Amino acid sequence: MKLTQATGILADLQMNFDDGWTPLTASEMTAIWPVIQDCLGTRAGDLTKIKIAEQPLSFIPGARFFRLRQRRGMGQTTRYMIQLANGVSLAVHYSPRIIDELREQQALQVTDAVLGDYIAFYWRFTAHGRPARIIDHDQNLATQQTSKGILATGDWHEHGQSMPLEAIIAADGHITFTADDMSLDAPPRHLQ
Amino acid sequence: MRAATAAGLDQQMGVGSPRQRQARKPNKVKGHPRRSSSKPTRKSASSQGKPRVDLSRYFEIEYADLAEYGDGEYELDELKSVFSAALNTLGESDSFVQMMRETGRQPFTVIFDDTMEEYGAIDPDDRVIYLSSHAPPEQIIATLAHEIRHAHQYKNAMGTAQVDRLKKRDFIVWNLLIEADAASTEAQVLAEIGHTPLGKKAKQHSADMPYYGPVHSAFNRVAAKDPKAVSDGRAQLAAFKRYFRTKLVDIYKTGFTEYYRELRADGVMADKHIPDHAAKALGWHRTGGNYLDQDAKLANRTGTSLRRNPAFFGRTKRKRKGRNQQLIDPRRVCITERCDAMDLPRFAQPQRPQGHEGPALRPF
Repeated sequence: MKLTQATGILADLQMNFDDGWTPLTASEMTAIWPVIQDCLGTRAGDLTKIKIAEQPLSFIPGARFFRLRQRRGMGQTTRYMIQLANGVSLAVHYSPRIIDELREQQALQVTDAVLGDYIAFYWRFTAHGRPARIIDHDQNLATQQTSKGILATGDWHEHGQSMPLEAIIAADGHITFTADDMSLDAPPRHLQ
Repeated sequence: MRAATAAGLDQQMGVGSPRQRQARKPNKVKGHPRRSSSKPTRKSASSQGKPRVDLSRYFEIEYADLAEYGDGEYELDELKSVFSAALNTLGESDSFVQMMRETGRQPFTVIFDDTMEEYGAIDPDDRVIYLSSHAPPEQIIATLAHEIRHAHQYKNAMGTAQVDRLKKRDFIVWNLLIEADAASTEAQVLAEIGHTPLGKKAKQHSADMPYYGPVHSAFNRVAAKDPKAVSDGRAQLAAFKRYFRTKLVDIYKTGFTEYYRELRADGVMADKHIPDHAAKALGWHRTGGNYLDQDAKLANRTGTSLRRNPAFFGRTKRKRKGRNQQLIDPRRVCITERCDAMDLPRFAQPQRPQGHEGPALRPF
């Protein structure tokens, strides 16, 4: 994992997990379906009823990040899966273990340019119930080397509101959110 | 196994033959609909020393991450224990027990899943409830109350096949209504169990939920002002109304619009309006118009009718022309056309002399 000092993040690297999903075409869905079934098993459901969309992950070169949505309304369920460049597929379990699995596969390439994306991914997908937040790319994400790791400070955006971001990225890729309202012990908050 | 369980439900919940059931069926349409059927009308069962209803036999628990695809974060027994505790607590809520009684006899399959983004979901056709295994016990209680309410709506108000055939605005409004209903019922159930068996953090957790937090707060405000409001349905009504002022409405409106398009793409006809009986069963309909129309505060926020108000659906409200503007006077048309052709000012425009109030004066 390469992590260098960063003074800023380019605005065009902004990743928003709620938007920007590209729906797969029918042929693409047919092609990826065996991989999804292998990864998720019976809960993958029925190909004719599932909606699959994807977006790239800037900090994992060659990876495809899939959103799998079944049913709608009161029955809607959403799951996420990562397919690495070497063909390995990993389901997101809302646990930090996804980071360990990615490190085992030597897939993570977190540079200063994609640090914001990595923090946003870690925030949302390593613990359940956290709402989507994006790093404010209009302002600099300052980094500083500390004894515990790299301290990154900047601003979050959530529903158009800005709030301070303070995160320590350890050498093993795990992140501790140190701002008051971003403790890992904070109560989960999400749609039901 | 299912038949035996269903028989057990009958015995325990006091449901007999179909004829007996019909005879005991409460009249849900009488009076204020939101105060009917599942509204509590008495104190909780435990407080009156009644035997608590054992609901656990009507749920079959599974864990999606247990098997070969599993490597789950939890043990099945652990999840069963949490679920059992949640259900035991919910058994103290009269509203919840009543909903279970009216939701059918077949057991629900509850599937815990580590990979699910939502806290809960329900497939009412197959009677499957999906729960996130990461959810804390307090959340499982709230989510289960929410999902069982959806099952109740499906059974008693309108099934998914009927909902899918609703015309666009009715489709979106109905889905919002059932979400508002489920969220307010969730608040009602949480109030009935008093949060106490779950610890001090439970109430705080409920208040911290960003989406349903305002709904729960509205409930609690009314309940704090008048404790009777919990039992007569006024607190739940306040929570139901508060839902329409949350940001969830905007989020869901977009989602349901997309859902509607998918249904049409699949070839499902959209040829129905919300039937009166369904609206009554859900409790937002009153004789002479729907409930939302008759509520002054809600009408101010959403327009005179939620279903008919274009502003609710993101468009500008259509402005009806005044009576005089609708009339076409051939003499006026003639003279304005002539003026336009000769590039002269339209002197025949309605004039409003200074100080004159009321409709504009017309030259003809």
